Amino acid sequence: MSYIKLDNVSLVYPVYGASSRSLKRSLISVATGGRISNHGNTLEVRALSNISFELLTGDRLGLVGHNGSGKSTLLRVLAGIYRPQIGRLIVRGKITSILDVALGMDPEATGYENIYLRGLLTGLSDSEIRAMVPDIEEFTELGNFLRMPVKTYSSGMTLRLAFGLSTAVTPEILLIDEVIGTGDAAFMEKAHSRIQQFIDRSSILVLTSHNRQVIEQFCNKAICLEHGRIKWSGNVSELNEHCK
Amino acid sequence: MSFDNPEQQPHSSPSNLYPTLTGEIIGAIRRYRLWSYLAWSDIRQRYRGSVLGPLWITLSTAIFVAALSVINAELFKAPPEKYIPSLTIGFVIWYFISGTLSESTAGLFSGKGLISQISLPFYVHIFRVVARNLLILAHNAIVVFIVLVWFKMYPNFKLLLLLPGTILVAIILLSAGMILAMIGARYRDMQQVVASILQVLFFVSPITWEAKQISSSTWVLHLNPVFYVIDALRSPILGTPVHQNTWPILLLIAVSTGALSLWLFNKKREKIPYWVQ
Repeated sequence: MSYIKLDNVSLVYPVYGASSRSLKRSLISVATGGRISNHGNTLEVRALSNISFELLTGDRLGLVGHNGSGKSTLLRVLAGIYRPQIGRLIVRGKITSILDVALGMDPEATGYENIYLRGLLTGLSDSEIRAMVPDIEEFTELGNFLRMPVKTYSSGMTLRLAFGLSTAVTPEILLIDEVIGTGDAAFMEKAHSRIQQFIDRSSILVLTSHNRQVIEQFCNKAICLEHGRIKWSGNVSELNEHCK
Repeated sequence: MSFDNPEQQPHSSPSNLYPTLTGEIIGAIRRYRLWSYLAWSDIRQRYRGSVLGPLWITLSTAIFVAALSVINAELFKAPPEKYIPSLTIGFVIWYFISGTLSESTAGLFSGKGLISQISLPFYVHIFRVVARNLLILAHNAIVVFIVLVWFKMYPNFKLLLLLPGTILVAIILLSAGMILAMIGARYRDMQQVVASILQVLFFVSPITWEAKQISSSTWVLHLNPVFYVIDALRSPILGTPVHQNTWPILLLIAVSTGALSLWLFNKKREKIPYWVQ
């Protein structure tokens, strides 16, 4: 039984300017009581404010909003990367986050080595990684190219491998950031059925996309974010009337 | 079991999102397949396309030791069978310590791609740096082995003291590594600071010279932590007695850097994803 609950979650995101990156300058400002350097160089962005929602098994949540509305930040909170300063977060279930399909890919390593590396990053055992290989071989159709370094691949081949790697596991709680909608038409058709199966295997999905069609197709619930706040949340069929 | 109603257990396992301090360290140790693979691929990448591959490490250390031995045999009139083994072991240990410390400053920062995408124990990145330098040490150990065989110096029972020394040095390097990696992620000029400190440390450490040559100003020696690290690892191999202060001081350094790094890590670990951006 997978479960996610956010209770009044707020997150402040520090952004460090160039001069606050210097140890020398920071030491001088400590030694002089901060009078020399301007403190304004570290900005604090309130990325999420009072976010509350609850997801149960079978929920497919689409996060919608403009750039900078907090979609990706919220996904990173759910993935356990950013820790909110205020509020409570409960996650039950193993998280699979796909924030970048090319996670950890090493262009110097071969396709097979990249399969192994991704398996290690995901925390799989050697036998689980081996079990993943035939599926990736079949989907990517890369054949002997899998024995070659990834840097020799065309961008389309690299994308196929990255996509194949990302969708080879069986997810429990699945977090996806803007991965659908890249690649050529023929690949998209093939990728589409694969991602549909991949999502079907998961118990909870949280997906961000700018593409409303994508949200409507994969999700049953939606949250509309604006400046880090929930502007509207509800059934995906009512999304368009409440969220422009 | 009434697990169907999640409201009944609101405190259940938020820990899978934010591990405890020990959870971080144990989690990182359990990921040994990941960081040893990453360490090995770092080394392979560094020497990709070269004929000798990682054996370049061995060769360049051999050349350095040979050249310095020739010069210093003239300069200090030191007997080669005493000087060369001491220099070789000292240099190889120094290469390991300085490599680990200087690469630690970029330890978290260079893991940026992973840190901002998935939740991994942060210590994985420190273990990766130490493991990478251990692999380099293993290549350099070939030179030590050849020198010891050449001078027919076969280690005696004192070699057993290498074990506590290694454990203490490992604790010191992992702790100092995490401290440097965190400061290096926050402040980008840390790499230069560490590089210049290490350069000075090399010259004030008894690697290319011997401790007894500067008996007049021994405070330079006794305030230098590198002296004790090298002494703890070198003397057991040479079969000579360890300096009387080495064990207590090494223990003190291990405990204090360990405590400082755990304190700093615990206080600031949630900032790391923002620092590496």
